[in-house]
Amino acid sequence: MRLTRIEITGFRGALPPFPIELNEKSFFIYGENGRGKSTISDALELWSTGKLQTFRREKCGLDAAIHVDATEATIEVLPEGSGPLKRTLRGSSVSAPKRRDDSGDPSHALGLPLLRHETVRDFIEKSPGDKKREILALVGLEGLNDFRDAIRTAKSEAKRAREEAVGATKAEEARLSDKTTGRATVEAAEELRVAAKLPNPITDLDELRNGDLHAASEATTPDRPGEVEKLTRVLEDALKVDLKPWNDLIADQESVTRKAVATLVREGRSVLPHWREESCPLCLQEYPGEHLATELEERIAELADIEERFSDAEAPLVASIATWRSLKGAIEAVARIAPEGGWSNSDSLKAAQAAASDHADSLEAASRDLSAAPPSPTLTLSGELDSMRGEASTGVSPQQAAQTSLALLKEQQERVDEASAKLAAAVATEKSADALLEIAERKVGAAITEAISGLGDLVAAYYLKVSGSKLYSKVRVEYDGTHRAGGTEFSIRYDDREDFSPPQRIMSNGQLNALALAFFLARTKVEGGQWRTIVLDDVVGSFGGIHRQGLLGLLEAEFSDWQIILLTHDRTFARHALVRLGSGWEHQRIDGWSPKGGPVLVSGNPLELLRKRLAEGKGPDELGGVARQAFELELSRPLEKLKYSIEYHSNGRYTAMEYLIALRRGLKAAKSSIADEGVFARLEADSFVINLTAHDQPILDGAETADFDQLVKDLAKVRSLFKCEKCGDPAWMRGERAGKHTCGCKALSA
Amino acid sequence: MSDADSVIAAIFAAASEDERCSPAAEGLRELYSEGAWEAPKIVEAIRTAGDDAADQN
Repeated sequence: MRLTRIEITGFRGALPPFPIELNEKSFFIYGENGRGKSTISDALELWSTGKLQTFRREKCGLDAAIHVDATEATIEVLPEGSGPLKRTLRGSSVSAPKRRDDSGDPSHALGLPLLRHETVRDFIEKSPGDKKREILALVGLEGLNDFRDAIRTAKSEAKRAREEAVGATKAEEARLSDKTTGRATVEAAEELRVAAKLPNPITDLDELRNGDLHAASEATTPDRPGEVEKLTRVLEDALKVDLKPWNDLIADQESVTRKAVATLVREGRSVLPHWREESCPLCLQEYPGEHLATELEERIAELADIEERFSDAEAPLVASIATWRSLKGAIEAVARIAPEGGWSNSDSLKAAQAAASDHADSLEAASRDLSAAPPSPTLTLSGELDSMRGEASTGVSPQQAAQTSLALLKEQQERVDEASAKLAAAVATEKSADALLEIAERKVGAAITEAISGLGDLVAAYYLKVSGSKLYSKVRVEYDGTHRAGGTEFSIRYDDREDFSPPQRIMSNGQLNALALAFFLARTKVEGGQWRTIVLDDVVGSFGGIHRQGLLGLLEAEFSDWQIILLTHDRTFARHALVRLGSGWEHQRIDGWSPKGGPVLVSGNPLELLRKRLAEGKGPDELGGVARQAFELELSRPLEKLKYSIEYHSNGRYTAMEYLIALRRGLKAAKSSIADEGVFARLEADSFVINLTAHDQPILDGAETADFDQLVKDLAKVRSLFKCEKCGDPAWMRGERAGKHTCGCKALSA
Repeated sequence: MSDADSVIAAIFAAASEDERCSPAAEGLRELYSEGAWEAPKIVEAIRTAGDDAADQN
């Protein structure tokens, strides 16, 4: 598919409709900088892709591409064999390509090959990985990009997960280490088990993992709050016992005596059964035993009331003794189940325990000796019970602390086990992802190698045509799968001795551009697609004369059946193209530009154009540019066709005077009869006029229209000098028609 | 010249032969055929296949 017509409106430098009739032909468009040349290539790019790479690179909104005096931009392109497809740019929003009736297949606009200088160099400067992506797309394997990228990302994610798992495991192990205070886990666990008074020794990690620490812990956990409550109750009981009846009774001496007698009598009765004598044990007088027994019973009966009184009074005392003994026991019990770190009032507890014991002993003595019961001791414990209740509810005993530590140690070991399991899974996952990526890289690499093998040969052939240099040979596009990312890179052999990759190591800027251009043209040729059109915008910026000629030769030889739209601001290249490119090409120049009028595209031979403009009455300010083109073309054509040498300029750019000097020198060297024609002397003056008018700031007052009339006549004269007077063929056709030419034109004698 | 699908099929075939990733190969193939070929799902498919293999062992 080729392009038939373009019409640009309100876009960049084109305000009113700017039509270009292409008619499926190749076009060479020359325009000075700022004349709207890039308006054409940008319009085609936006039409085909909906984007402008230059704007994107500069982070500039597409709205800036709308002409300052327009509200919207439209680009209508008529592809060969299709209806016109128009895209409209409003603000930064660009419509899909469609016909005026909203129909049409937008895909007809896609993929128009368009190369710019920066695009070409960008490719060379890309990393091997990015080059590989482009090449995959080129050879129809772009699906592999996403496929491989997903695996690669998965591998990265697996790696990240593994690294996180390593970190998590180390963190859990560090926490475990904190809990074992530097000892081995099993050793620490066994020490805690002993302290917690748990059965079943822990001799390995499995016994720690599987031990039923929870059940054991419950069974041995003391009821500390309960014990403190019990202590509270006992203490209250101890302190509230009323011993006043006992002490009152003791204070009555007669009662005490009577009690003592009653005790003796009762004890006497107890020993009576053992008495065998018939006399009194006290006075040793005859006194039969049965009488004594009767008398004792009588005395006991007499003393019963006092014993009863003492019995009533002693009951609280006995109870008090028991209570104080209980208090001592309760204090001991509470002290035994002290929280970790001990009770805050442990000193009071110890003192209370001793006091309770002493007091109980004193009460016992009072009972035994029939003495007064001492008052209850003063215990600070009474005021400390509230705080003890608080400690009882929060604190833990050393045993329980050991149990808790052991449980925590077990939990931490479980966390370490869990983290280790996750790490093992993450390592295995990463290993699998790694293997998958390796396989994918190998297969993708093989596919790329297969795909680019032919492309490399074509790039090599194209590069040789463009560069014309045999110093660099064996250009190859190679897939390098030796490193994980893989990549595609150019390789080139220098002087048939050594291969270099990347080529930046050895090639100049211009050579690199030539290589990249060769690659893109090869790619376009191989890719095929729907287009038989290539747009080349200023791709020869760093090219010298040889590369420029080489490119034109390549386009002629390999793309003669393609429509090439070649845009340049380089007049030397334009002149080369005008001389070199054949009849299949339209040569046009953007002759002017104004903000309101846009670019002015004119076609035709510069000499004919100059003649036409003179006839239209144009002034020197509108004649200088085309006059210079005409001058250069009319003199350079015989110079190149007759292969006369010209002093070498690396950039291939020459002034009008240099062409004139070279041509006259060549004619003289060939001893041509036309070497001394007067027209050449006049052309020296003509070149002066061109220099006055054709530069950016022309000295217009120094030239008149008559000077351009003379230039037209002189150039027509030069043209006639190199034509056969009879047949009209150019002089340089002689060699091609050897044996058939019989004319005697002056040029042929040169 | 190979097309992308044949290259991808070859990758899955090779993956099923490689002991490092063979447990996951079938799951990955299904993932791709379902149009769910995304990195997190790939990782999950590999991890699940690994867990299953570990359970069987």
